[in-house]
Amino acid sequence: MDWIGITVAALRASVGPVAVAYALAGLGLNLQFGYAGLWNYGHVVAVAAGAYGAAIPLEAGATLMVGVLCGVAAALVVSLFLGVAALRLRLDYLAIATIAFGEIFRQVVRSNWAEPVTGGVFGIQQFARDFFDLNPISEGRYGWGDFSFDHRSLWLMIVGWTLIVIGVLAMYMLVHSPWGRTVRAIREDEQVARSLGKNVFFVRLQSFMIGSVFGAFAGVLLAFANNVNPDFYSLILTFWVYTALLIGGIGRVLGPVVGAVVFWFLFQWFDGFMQSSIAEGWYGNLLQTTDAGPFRFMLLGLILVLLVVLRPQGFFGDKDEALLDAS
Amino acid sequence: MSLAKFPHFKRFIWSIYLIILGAVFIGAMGFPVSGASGQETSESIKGRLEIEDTEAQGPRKVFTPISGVRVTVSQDGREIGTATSDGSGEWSVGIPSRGTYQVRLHTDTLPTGITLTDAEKSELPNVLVDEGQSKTVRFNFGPGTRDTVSRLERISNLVLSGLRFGAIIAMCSVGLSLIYGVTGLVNFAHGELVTLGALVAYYLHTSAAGPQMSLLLAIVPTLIICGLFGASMEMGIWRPLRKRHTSLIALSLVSIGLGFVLRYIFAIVFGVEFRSYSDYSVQDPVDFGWVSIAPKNMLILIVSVMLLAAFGLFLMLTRTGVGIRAVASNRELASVSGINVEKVIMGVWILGTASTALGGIFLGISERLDWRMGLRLLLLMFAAIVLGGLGTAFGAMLGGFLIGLIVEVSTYWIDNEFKVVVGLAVLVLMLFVRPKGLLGYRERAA
Amino acid sequence: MPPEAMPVEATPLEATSAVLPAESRPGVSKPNPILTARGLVRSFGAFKAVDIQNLEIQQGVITALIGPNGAGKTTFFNLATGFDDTSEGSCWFQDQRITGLHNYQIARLGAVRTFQNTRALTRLTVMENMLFASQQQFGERLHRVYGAKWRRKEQKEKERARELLDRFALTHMADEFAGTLSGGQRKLLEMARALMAEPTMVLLDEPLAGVNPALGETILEHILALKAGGTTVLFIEHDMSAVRKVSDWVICLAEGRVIAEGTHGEVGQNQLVLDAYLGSTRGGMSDDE
Repeated sequence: MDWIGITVAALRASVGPVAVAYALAGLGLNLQFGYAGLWNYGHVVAVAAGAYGAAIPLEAGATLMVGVLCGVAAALVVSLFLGVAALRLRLDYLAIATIAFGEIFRQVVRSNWAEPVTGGVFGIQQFARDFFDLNPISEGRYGWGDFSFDHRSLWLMIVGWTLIVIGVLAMYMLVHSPWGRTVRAIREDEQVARSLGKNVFFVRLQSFMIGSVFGAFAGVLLAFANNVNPDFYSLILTFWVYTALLIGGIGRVLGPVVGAVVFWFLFQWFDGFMQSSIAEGWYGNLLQTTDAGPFRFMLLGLILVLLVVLRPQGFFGDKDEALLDAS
Repeated sequence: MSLAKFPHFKRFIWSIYLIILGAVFIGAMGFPVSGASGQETSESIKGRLEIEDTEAQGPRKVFTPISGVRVTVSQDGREIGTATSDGSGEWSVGIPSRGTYQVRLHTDTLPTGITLTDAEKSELPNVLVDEGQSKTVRFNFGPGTRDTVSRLERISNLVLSGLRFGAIIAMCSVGLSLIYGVTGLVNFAHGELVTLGALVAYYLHTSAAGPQMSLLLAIVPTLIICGLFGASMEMGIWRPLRKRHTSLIALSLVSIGLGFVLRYIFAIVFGVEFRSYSDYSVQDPVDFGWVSIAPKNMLILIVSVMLLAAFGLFLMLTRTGVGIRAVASNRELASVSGINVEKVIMGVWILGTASTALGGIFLGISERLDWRMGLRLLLLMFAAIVLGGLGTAFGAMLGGFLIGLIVEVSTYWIDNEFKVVVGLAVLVLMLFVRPKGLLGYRERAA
Repeated sequence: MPPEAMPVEATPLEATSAVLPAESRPGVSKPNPILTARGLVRSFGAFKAVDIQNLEIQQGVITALIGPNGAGKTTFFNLATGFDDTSEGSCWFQDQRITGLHNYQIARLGAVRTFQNTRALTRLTVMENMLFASQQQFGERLHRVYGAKWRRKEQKEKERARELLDRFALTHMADEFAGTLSGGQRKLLEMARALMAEPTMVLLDEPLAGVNPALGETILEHILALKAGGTTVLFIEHDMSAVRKVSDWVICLAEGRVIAEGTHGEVGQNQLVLDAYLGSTRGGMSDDE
């Protein structure tokens, strides 16, 4: 078995454009779930709103700036609507409301009815030319051996990692400000916050919407990287971002970034490992090559379970800061 | 963390291990190993071209396949693919994803002497294909035309279909609602319990390596197996986590992860294609004038209503039933008034999983089986229990029937593709208007 | 403000705290009311958990709210602070009708409550618990987060928080998570946190519940200190000796109604009050004298 090849492929995935998008989405989810304690199971809505919000005007010929702003604005509008409606609910109801809303969003954008605008099941392609025109890197592959990226991926990664650096700094300042303190206090006990004169609903709405802006940037980046396809934005995406977040550690500023990198490393490594080991006949007739995909997802599900149960603070976290533990 | 803080760790790991082992074992024994890709199944449109042999003798109709006929599938003028019917009259065209397609039969390629019964029906303008579906379309050959159905007939058929679907949702959601009621767990793995029931019955009934018992007989061991599975989950996972006072949100994340594990085990073991039970898969509908319904669906509706009524009586009249309702309405109060809460929770898991499994079998009989059948139903189940009142059994029943009706009847006015959206819109609306549901007994707003 | 309570002019606190009402009958009007309830009802179906015709809490004094279990004391707290929905009637705080306001709005007016079960924000440090409670957090508004100004303003708040922590003997724990505090320390933190909000009135729901006698004494001293600092105190308490030690005025609730008001001496001898306590199977008047 080609251990090095598998590992290098996994390393490549762990810093690639999709991992970057996961990190950005995770930053937003971390604010909502980790700091504000909002049970948001529909984070995919913000990501999809960002992707479609940018892709639709760009395809219609808008400039890059307008497109990106439209993506962010779309996420803000959608999260404002969802937040105003759902943040008054108890938190377990919020979970159900957001997950349902995520599925509604996906089904509507992929419908025939919406096809003239959203491209229906086919999605939207070939709208990111302006973005790649800005690419200063000349065509070719860059890197060492198998650990290399083409100029498009590299451009996406440069922009993406820059966004992450900015995002992490912005998030650090947010959560270490008095505003961030209030957000965390509300997570701990909303009644106490109310008794001390804090407008719980408003602060929650703020954190919900800011989290969605991060999701929107993730969506825009994903759209540039992979075009826009409605079925990519199923509710499952939310839970992979959760898994990544749990790996990195909830309620830690760098948690989602570390988590996304490790998640995509594991994801790709499991894939390579399963493909090779099945091809080499390790499991006899039990598994076929086509089972590698499902098996990898199963392992990630198992990681999600074991993380929550055994290491709620994440792979690298400190037990005292575990947010998921006994309430 | 140290393992000492989680004394049930061993039991926990063991049960996860056993769940996986059991599923793989069943797979190795029973199911044909899958061949399709692990990601999404590709949708297709297919059909069989055949003409009734009117001169054949005997009680059964005899059909002769028509081969060499070209069929084109297109979408909004874009041609997606073309196929030619083979020796058994079958043709199939793969399509990129779900949506509405146009299917055209090239009448010039028909053998001489065979015509469409309705010459205008050579093109079907609105063929709707669901996610993962392999859609069968039919062209009728020979003399005579089919009469169009009246409005009244259409709506009454939709109502009946809605009741059938509602009965299945109700069967499946009672468990979900009661489990929420007694433990506070929002169980996102509940869809997988639906799939589990359907697939275990498939193994016992249809699978070549299974005992191939009749479907009706297979129901009993299926329910026992699934009930035991529910009990083992409660013992191995949920009870230890509850003892540790794990927060509800952490519990729900565990259920999401568990859902993933189970679902992809199904994908590996069962494969990703759609299948049917060998019994009752094809039935001609019986015409009752305004409505026509396949006997299996009629039976599902009647049996579900009877079982749900029996379950309702059980909850109202027996000691255990009253205990369950007491725990669901107020766990602390029930506990101090001498009810053994842990025992009640265990009972709810067993009963809930078994009834959900039965719902899954019904869904499999009425529609088809695949590894994501429960996941597709999950959000509609949530819609049902939120509509009826989270945590109540009667609410889940009422909500199930209402959601089934709303979803099906809505297609009279609204495009078929928005079926699920309508159901989920009801869920979201209900949360905003009356979060405690129609029959709920607790204020749920923050 | 109801008309009969209108003519009250703000008088120096030192003077008002001494002048108690002349009469001691339920619903008596008081010289300088800060919190007023008129026809206040909270009903659950046919059952009225609170049914108060007329109740005034005097500014600058310590008022104890007593009554057997289920008398509606906490429900009254919830209604007065907006944590429960009023069925009928209204409350006024100072000159403003507060019924219908959100609970956080009432808190911002200066009526801050605590809860029966201690509620520390466990995964915030003790200092963060304190700072969070302040009403003057410049950086609490989102648009100022990225400015530099809030850091300077925060320093002042920190000093104030340190003083309060000193007073409540919690300074050494300032940088620990509140979750590491003992039960008694959490009680103290909760009081200190309420004071950080600079309330004109604090409503303490059983401040002595589950507290050892020594700490109980400390808490009572803090309550007295509050009055000395000009803060009005309304507290729910079962322990009559504690009530006797600190309260200027005692109000007794039973079955949702005010059955007696007066100094602790008067209320302690009131036959209705004794009956209410004796008639209640679940509660009892704990009097160790």
